[in-house]
Amino acid sequence: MNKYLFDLANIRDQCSWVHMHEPEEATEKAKDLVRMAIARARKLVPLQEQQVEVIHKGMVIGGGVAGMTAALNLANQGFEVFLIEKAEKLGGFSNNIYQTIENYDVQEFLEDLINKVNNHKLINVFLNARINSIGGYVCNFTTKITFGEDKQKKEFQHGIIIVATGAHEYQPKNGEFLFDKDDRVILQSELEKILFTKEEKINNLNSIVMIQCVGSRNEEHPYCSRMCCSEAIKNALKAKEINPNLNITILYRDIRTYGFKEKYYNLAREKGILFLRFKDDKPPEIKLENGKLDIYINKSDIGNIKIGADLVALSAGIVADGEANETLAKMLKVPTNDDNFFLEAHVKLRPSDFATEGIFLCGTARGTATISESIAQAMSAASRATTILSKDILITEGVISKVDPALCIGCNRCAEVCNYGAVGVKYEEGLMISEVNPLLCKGCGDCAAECPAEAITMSHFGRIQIEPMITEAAKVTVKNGQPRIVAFLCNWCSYAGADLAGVSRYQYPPNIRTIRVMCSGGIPKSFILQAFLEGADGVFVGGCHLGDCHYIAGNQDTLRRTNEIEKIIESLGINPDRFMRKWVSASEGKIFAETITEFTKKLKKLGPIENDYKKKEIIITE
Amino acid sequence: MIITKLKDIEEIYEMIKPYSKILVAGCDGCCQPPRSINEAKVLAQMLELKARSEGKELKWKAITVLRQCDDRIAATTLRPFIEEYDAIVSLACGLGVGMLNRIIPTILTFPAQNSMFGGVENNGENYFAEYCETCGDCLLGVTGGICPMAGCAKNLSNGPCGGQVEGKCEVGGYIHDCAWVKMWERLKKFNRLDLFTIYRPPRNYRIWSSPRFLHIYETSSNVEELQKEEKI
Repeated sequence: MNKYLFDLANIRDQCSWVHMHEPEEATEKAKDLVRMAIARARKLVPLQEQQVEVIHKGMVIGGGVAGMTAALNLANQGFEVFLIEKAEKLGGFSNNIYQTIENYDVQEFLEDLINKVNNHKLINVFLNARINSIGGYVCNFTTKITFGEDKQKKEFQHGIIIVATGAHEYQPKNGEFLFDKDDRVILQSELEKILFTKEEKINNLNSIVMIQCVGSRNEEHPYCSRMCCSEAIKNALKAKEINPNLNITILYRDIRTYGFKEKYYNLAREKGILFLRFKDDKPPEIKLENGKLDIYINKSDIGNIKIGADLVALSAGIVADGEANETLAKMLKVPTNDDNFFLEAHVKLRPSDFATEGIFLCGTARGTATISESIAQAMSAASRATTILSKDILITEGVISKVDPALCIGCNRCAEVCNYGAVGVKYEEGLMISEVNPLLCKGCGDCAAECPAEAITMSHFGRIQIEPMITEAAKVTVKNGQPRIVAFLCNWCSYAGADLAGVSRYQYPPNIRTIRVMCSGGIPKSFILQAFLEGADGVFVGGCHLGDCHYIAGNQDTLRRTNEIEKIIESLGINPDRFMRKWVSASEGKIFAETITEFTKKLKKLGPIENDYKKKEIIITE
Repeated sequence: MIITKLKDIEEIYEMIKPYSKILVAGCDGCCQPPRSINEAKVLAQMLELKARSEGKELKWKAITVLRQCDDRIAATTLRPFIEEYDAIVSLACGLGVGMLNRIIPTILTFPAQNSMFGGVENNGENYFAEYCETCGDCLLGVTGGICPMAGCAKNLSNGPCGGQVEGKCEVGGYIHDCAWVKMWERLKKFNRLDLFTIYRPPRNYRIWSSPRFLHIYETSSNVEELQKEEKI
């Protein structure tokens, strides 16, 4: 038998265990729950899961340390990899790094890595490459690129994508710290180059001043780049090693040498490197006087300090290439954050995945990271990718949305609410109707709730199944004076929370009839209005906490729709207190029980919904 | 697209108060935001709840029409149902309401929406913008595609006034862009500022006065009529 023909009436966790002291009402509730389950089961239809063949090849975008590590990792596991690099040589930003703070030789490591990548049979490297288009979906992407100096064209198919596009050093603009105007004001990366290739230049200097947080932690780039402090200390230590008589001053806001890098900060202080703090609103100023560079810093306790410098090194932050990332994000249909870095599906639970199936990310494409962090992320992304590549076929979900092309009006509202890029109007193919990609759809039903034409049906939890349940739930018999509550609970948080309340035996009044939906975002306004029309005294909607939605942001749409509902029912003369929305997580069984108890109390005070329907007095005037 | 806005539920309810069976008709046409079957159903549910709170019962059916302003489509979609209902509430623009009133002579159709303007939606941005006033004498060819009638608060068609500051219009407190500044910049970009120097005769406002009719085909009889008009 098709497994989607099964339904369950939850009469233990959500009935007998939570109404221990009201056996009669609990029995009535159990009967209702069974009736509701039958009403739904009558409308269930068998669903088919599709099987899709996986192409055992991967594409890695970006040939920096992260990209190369990911490519090598995949290739070593036997998967062919296409490595795309926009520059004319591999290595990315690491080409500018000579040593890590722990004294590892980066160039040697990079050379070794590039050799391994170039000599690997299964890695196809494309330099000077540009992506023209990316089509398809997980298991079966088709990418067209132009590569090489002679602009050759190539098209290939692959099963997964790893995004490792990286980032670059912030370039100070508009004469910030005289960067464009004086040769002696340079970036940390340029200083590093001097330190490791032209040592003799350092020997002639008396004083170096480093300025931290250039282009970081300001309005334009509010984040901390996390590596500039270590980089400055690394360079300062190296310079001191070359020329022990050199005076080095680091002007900082907060030193963030996190983890074990803290010991290099201590070492720097021992070596006599001077650290001077400046306030966020009083950055140091550079003035050019008689061909000399003077740095002024305002210390509120001791007044203005003037430091002469032969060389000024600006510790510039790491910024994403906004335009390039935006273009790629549009091609892949994945999100970027406010700082133009790519946005992962969940920072803790799925840090290497995009919300869209089959696309992964690592390195500085995701945010600032050191080389070692980039390598770890690359390994993580590669192993996530192999979970798909190692399979021969991928089985799609059965519970997904479906579009009736005859009803679709092509408004593309579905694509606006879908968090997975799974549904939308296929403009490229000239068909102005929406289509669902069964490989990407996760089955939250948000699009079905949003569709103005009801062209999208959420299978298994659609209108056809839920509407009869609402009818049954609203016409229940409850003890006199008890309000009738219809509750819509999302499968992952509130329904699980209600189950937990059962397991933990948190008691609550037995007048609530729960309807399970996959996501609270899949509840259209008409469900709630229908519940009131059918005679419910109160309607409850439960979802995951904002930001914790199982479907990324489905509950944001719940929030929008329920806010509208509150306004609507108030304008209809129904007390808005009859509707309640609460975010209940799977671990908040107690909160669920308390919420329902409180809601019941409130509704008891309001009385049956007929109180709101009272006939208005007709005043007849002569 | 015709941009529309839902009326207050009280106002809609007042219109259909005398009736107990209503047909709520959505429109799948250009009406924006989309008002199809789902919206029709929600409106019908709202009206039923409103009726109950006033102590009345209301029967309804929600349907949707491909384009309410097309007489044949609207008639074939609606006619099978109208005998059972006392009134129609239309979720289309004013054109749809007018058309339903014309093709269904037996019962009245009421508007559920206010038609705002002929506008466009910028995908991803949360607003509609007015782009066309259907003035009957299109200037877009010489203004770089920016309409001075819809874009200019003073409907100036022969050049800007002096009331703009840094590209913002004085009407409404320097919030909206000045259409004439936008035009100048756009034509400059394409090196077509010569279009500004073309002599424009005073506009013919007669063609902008209601009611307006337009013959679709030139039959022999109306060619003669047209010739007569020209002679006059």
